[in-house]
Order: sequence, then C-alpha cells, then structure tokens
Amino acid sequence: MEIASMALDRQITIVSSDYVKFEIEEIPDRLKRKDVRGFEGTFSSVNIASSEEIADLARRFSSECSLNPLDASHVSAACVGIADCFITCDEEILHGGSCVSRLAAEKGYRLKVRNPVRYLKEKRGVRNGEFTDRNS
Amino acid sequence: MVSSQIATVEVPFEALAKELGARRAIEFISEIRVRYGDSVVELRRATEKLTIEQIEEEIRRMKNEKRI
Repeated sequence: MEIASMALDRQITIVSSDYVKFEIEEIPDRLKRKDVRGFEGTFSSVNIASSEEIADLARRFSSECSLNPLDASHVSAACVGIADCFITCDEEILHGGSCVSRLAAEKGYRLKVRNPVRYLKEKRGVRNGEFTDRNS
Repeated sequence: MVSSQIATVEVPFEALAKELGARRAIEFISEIRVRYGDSVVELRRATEKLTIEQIEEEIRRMKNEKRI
C-alpha cells in the first residue's frame, strides 16, 4: 500500500514489462487476473517490451543464479528498464538477490533485489539520512 | 431446502480507482477479496515449466492476438 502510494505521488516509478503482462494473463483465477491487470495498469507508468536482449540476459540469470526462466526474464527486463530495485516477495528470487546484483553489475546494470519491507525500511532511512546501503 | 445464492459483482479496478481514488480502491479490493491465497505459489505452479523460448513465443502470440 505504501509503495503504491509512493507511485501515485510520483516519488517512484513502477516499471512493468511484457513479461509481467504475460504472467498476469497466466493467473488461473479470472477475478484475481482482472484485479491484477487493473493494479498493473494503474500503478505502472513504463513498459519494457520483450526482446532478444532480455531473453539473452535471462538465460544468464537462469543458469548462473538458478532462477526459473520467467523470474529471470522479469529480472532482465528490470535491468534493461534501468530500474534501481526489483521488489518481490518471492523467496527464490530474494535468495538469489546477491547473485542477481553481481551479474547485473557485470553487464553494466545496477539492480538491487529487495522484499517490500526492506525496501521501505531503506527508503525511509535514506529519507531521514540514516541509512547506508552496504549490500547493494 | 432453501439454497442461497451469492451474487458476484465485478467492477474493473480502473473504474473503482476512478470512483474511489486508487488508494481507497486497493483497500477496498483487499477487504473484499481476503481469500485470494498465495499468488506467488499459484503463479509459480502455472509458469515454472516454461522455457525462455516458450515464454517469448507466448508473448509474441498474445501480442498478435492483442491480449497484451
């Protein structure tokens, strides 16, 4: 909710992608699918189109960071979309977070992987001038 | 025996957001759809077996069909 508010207040930009849209269309429950489509359309202001560049990068994330192909595609789209942070509740992606950041850096991208709680904690810390990110 | 029926009213999120404001719309959706379950687990089940090539092909197909 707080992250959604930040997007509405234009403090942050939510980056979507063709991979996000594809995953939404795979949601089995019709009502939930419709709601999530609405969230995505309302809160994201940038869309990253699928591309061979993203697919190539995804193959690296998948093989080196043990991400499943769709998660690897999401992470790659975030890199190509020059996102600062990949926010997720997915434990498998969070677990591979340091590998993702390292490989992204090798490719010239700067991407942190955070769960929403940690992201907000860091964001508040930065706002208050208290936080130094040693793990990015 | 009298059976009861529950009506499901479907309102697109965009329409709710326009009417209530996006913040309240999220609260509203969260309140009425508390039994959504674990989205991450459900989605993982639906997509974990796809290869990168299959994902790219599916996206191309959905774009051609104007679904995304």
